[in-house]
Amino acid sequence: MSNERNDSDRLVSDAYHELADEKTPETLNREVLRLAAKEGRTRYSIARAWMRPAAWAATIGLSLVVVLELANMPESEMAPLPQSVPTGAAAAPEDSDRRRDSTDEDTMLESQAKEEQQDGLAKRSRPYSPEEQMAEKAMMLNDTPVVSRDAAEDDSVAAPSAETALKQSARAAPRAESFAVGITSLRVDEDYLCPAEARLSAEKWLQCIRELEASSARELVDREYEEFRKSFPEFEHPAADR
Amino acid sequence: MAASAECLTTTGRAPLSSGAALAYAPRMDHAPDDSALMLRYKDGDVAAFEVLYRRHTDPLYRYLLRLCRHRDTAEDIFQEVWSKIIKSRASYRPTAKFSTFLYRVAHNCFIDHTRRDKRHARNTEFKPDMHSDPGEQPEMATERSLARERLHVALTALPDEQRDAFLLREEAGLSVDQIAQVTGSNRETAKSRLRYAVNKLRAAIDEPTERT
Repeated sequence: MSNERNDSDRLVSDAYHELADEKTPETLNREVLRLAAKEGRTRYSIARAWMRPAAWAATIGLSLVVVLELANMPESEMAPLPQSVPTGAAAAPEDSDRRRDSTDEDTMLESQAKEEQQDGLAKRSRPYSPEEQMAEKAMMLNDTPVVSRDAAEDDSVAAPSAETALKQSARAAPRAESFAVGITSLRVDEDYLCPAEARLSAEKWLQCIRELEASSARELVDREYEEFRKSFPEFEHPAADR
Repeated sequence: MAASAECLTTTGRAPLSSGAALAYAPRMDHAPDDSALMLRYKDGDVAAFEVLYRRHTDPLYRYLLRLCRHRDTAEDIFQEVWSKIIKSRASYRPTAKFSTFLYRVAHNCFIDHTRRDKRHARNTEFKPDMHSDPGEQPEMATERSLARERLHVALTALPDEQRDAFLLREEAGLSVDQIAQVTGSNRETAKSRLRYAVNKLRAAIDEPTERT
């Protein structure tokens, strides 16, 4: 604009500004400013005037509600949540080792408990051996000490423990004696009295039978003799042995 | 352009409320520009509007007074212009210079008024005060007073478009491009109108000198 103006323009411009020095009447100024203030306050200032206190009130109200809710909440709901196990690199190495050890111990204990539980179930589901049944019945009748079930499982131990129980029950009462006979008949059926190695030799077997005679288990002795004769028909045994 | 820093002190108080948002203000050590003030008024800062008004009130009043050539009409249009500015603050966008926006509104109001009132052409009752400097010699004062009157007469006699272009440059301080934008014409037309107006006024000023 400056290069568009030449000397002629400046002369005219100066002459014009000497002429034009009118000012806006104050009444007009007041009128326009009054209108501006009215319009400005009606739409925006009034809105701002109530919005700020309203925002504060809403904030305080919400805070109070939250505080009251927390105060009324039962302690069980306020208990901290269980910590989730961090994965991967988030966990420290020492912590992860410790955690691994503890988990190994836990798994071992768990597996042992499972094994014990399974053993118990298996024992309960397995039919009792005759010695166990005999011992249990003897205990029920005569209040005699019970041979443990685990010990009875072992075959080598089973026969003497059953005999002990039988002898104890036989000495205790006549009822127990008759019951013991029933039990021994059960053992004859299963060839329990004379061991298999004794049966291989005629002398040993006979010796076993004589021992049975000494224990006055007559029925058992007769059956053993029958079996003996079947196995060794040509054996000549003394007359005292029939 | 008469808009200047003295307008900021005419209210006799701090020109801007301290609590107002200063997001639009470019620098704190300078007065905020017109667009920033208008945006602050848009947000409800009435004090910002007062500063803006004080900057532009006298040039706009003179522009309308010489354009309309009638004081009452000029005051009516003046009020109408500011009323439109106030009501349009919600949709105001600082895409152009505020003075361009203001004088475009004023120009349109003047055009609307001339369309409504066909007597506008005959309505030339406005006479400026031909005061003279008291210390000035009587002959010089008389000559200066006569020059002012000739200028006034020449200005009044200009066609509306030429007078409009001249007043926009002298009162609003607009460039040729901005004058074209305000008047809705192209640049060459605005420049031509301005050149014609200046030449006529220069002729009116120089007339007594040529005679002597």
